[in-house]
Amino acid sequence: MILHGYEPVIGLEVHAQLTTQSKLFCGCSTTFGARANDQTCPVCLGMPGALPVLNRQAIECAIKLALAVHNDPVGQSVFARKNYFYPDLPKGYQISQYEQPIVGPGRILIETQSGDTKTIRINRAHLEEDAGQSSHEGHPQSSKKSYVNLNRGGIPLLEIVTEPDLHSPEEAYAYLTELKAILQYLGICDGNMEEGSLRCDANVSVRPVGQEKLGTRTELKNLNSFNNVRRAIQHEIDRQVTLCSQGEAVAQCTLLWDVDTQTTRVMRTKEDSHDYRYFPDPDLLPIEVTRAQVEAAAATMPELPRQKYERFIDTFQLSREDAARLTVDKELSAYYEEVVAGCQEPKTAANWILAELLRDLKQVEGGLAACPIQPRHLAGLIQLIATDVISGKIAKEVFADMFQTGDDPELIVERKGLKQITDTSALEAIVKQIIESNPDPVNEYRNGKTKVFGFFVGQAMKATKGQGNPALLNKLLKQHLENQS
Amino acid sequence: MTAITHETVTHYAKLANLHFDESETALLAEQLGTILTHVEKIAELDLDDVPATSNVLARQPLFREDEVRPSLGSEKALANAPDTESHHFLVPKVINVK
Repeated sequence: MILHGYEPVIGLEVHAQLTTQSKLFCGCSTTFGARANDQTCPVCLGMPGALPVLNRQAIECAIKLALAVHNDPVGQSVFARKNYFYPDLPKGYQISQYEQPIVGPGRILIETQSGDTKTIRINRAHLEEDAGQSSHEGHPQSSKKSYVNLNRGGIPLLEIVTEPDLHSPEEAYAYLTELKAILQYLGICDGNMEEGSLRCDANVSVRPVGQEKLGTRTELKNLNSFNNVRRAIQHEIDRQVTLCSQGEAVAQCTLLWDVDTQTTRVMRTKEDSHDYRYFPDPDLLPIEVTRAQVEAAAATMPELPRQKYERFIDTFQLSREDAARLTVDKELSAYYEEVVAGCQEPKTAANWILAELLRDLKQVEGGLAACPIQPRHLAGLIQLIATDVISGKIAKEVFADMFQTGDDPELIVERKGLKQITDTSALEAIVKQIIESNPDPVNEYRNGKTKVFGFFVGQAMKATKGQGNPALLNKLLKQHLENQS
Repeated sequence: MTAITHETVTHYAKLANLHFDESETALLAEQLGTILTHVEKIAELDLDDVPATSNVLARQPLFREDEVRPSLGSEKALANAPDTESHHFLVPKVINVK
C-alpha cells in the first residue's frame, strides 16, 4: 500500500441481526429461507392502525452487547422514526433509535498485525427493525419491475457504530473478526454474512499524516464478506490517496462495492443525501433499562473471546496465534477444551486441531458442527501417541481413518494392527538383519560418514511398516552400528 | 408570525413525495407559518425547570415475550397489492443494477 504521506481513517457500521424467534415489533417468525412474504402481518406490512409491541428479548440482547463492550446501559432509551421512501419499507419510516440509543459509548480490543493490542472505541449501538428485501435481477419481469419480499422487514437489528479509530484495512478486518466472535459468544447473532445476518458499511477518509482534521469521507456499502470489506477499503484508500496527491478533492458520496469488477461505483452524491427527519416514535413509549435488569444479564454473561484468548495463553501456554485461531470460534474453542480435558496435552491438542482437523473440515459441509471426530476420540488418539502405543506418523493414518469412519482410535489401531512395536528383541532382530544385508553403508558409517544413519532409520521403518518405536529403533541402530563385534 | 418560505415548502413536499402547484405552495407556506406561530406561544412560558418530554403517557411500556405468532401468509399479504408474481410484491423498477 503506497500512502504518499497520507493516513487512512476508517469507521465501521455493522448491522447485526439478532437471534430472536420473532420480529422486533410483531410475532412473525424470523426463520431464514421461508417463501416470500409468508412471514408478514399487518404490523410489519405497515397496515394503517397496526401498532408495534416491543420484543423483550431484543432488549436483553442489547444489554448483553452493552456489557461486552464495557458500556453501562442503565437509563432511558427512545425509539425514533427514520423517514424515507423505498419499496422495501412499507410504513415509509423505519423504527430506529436516534437521540437515546440503548447502548452508548464503549470499546472493543483488537490485535494489530504487529501483535499490539489496540482499543477501538464504540460510539453507540442502537436497536432498529430491518427493512424488507428488494430484488432487481433474475426474475421474469426484472427488466421493468423490482420484486419485494417483506419477510425480513421488522427483524431486530443492532447497528454497532465505531469511532473513526481504524487506520488500515487489516485493522478493520481484525475489528470485524473480534466483533463477530463477541456476538456469537453472546449468542445474540449468528454472524452469517451470506444470509445477511451480519452486514457492514465502512466510512473511509484520508488525511496528511499529523493533521488533526478529518478529510472528506465516503461511505462504502454492499460489503458482504470480511474479505470484501478489506478489499473495498483498500480500493477506496488507494482512490482517495491518488486524488489527494494530485491535488484533487474527494467528493462526499455513497459508494457501492461491485464484487465482480472489484471496484466501486457511486450510489448517491452529497446533493441527494437523505434528510431522514428523525423524531421520537409516538407509538412506542421510552424504555427504561434498570440496574436490576443489567445485573441479571451480567450474571448470565459467558466468557468472552478476549478473556478466553488470555486464559488459553495463561493456562495452556499456547502461542498468541494458536490461541487467537482457537478462540475466534466459540464452538471450536469448546471442542478444543473437551479434547484437552480428555488428554491433558494442550499443545499437542492445539496442533492436531489447527493443522489436521481444520484442514480436513474444509471438505465437510457444515464445518465443525458436522465433524466426524468426537473430541474424546481425538483426545484418545493423542493419548495413544503420548503413551507410545503408536508413533506420530501412524497417528496420521489413524486420524484419516477416524475422519472417514468416526471410530474410536483404539479400535482402529486394533483392527489395522497398527500398534507400535516396542518389543526390544523383535526390533533387535530387524536391526541385525538390516546391518547384515547392507555392508557398504555400514562401513561408511563406521568410517565416520554418520549421515548414512538416516538410511538405516528409513530401512528399519520400512521393515516395521512404520510401526517400530522410533526412539527404540534409533537406540538399537546406534548400538549395533557402533558395536563392531 | 414565523415565516415559512416557498423553498421550505418545496423541500418538505419533495421529502414527503407530495406535489403542489404555485398557489398551493403559497397557501401552505402561510398556513404552516400560522401553525408554527401558534405553537411558539409555548415559548412565552418559563419552562426552565420542566424536563423535555417525548411522550405524554406516563405509563411503562408493554413488552411482548419472544414468541412466534401466526403470520398472514403471502396470499393474504398480497391480496391488496396491484401487481404480484411468485409471492412477491412487484413495483416499478427502482434501481438499475449495472
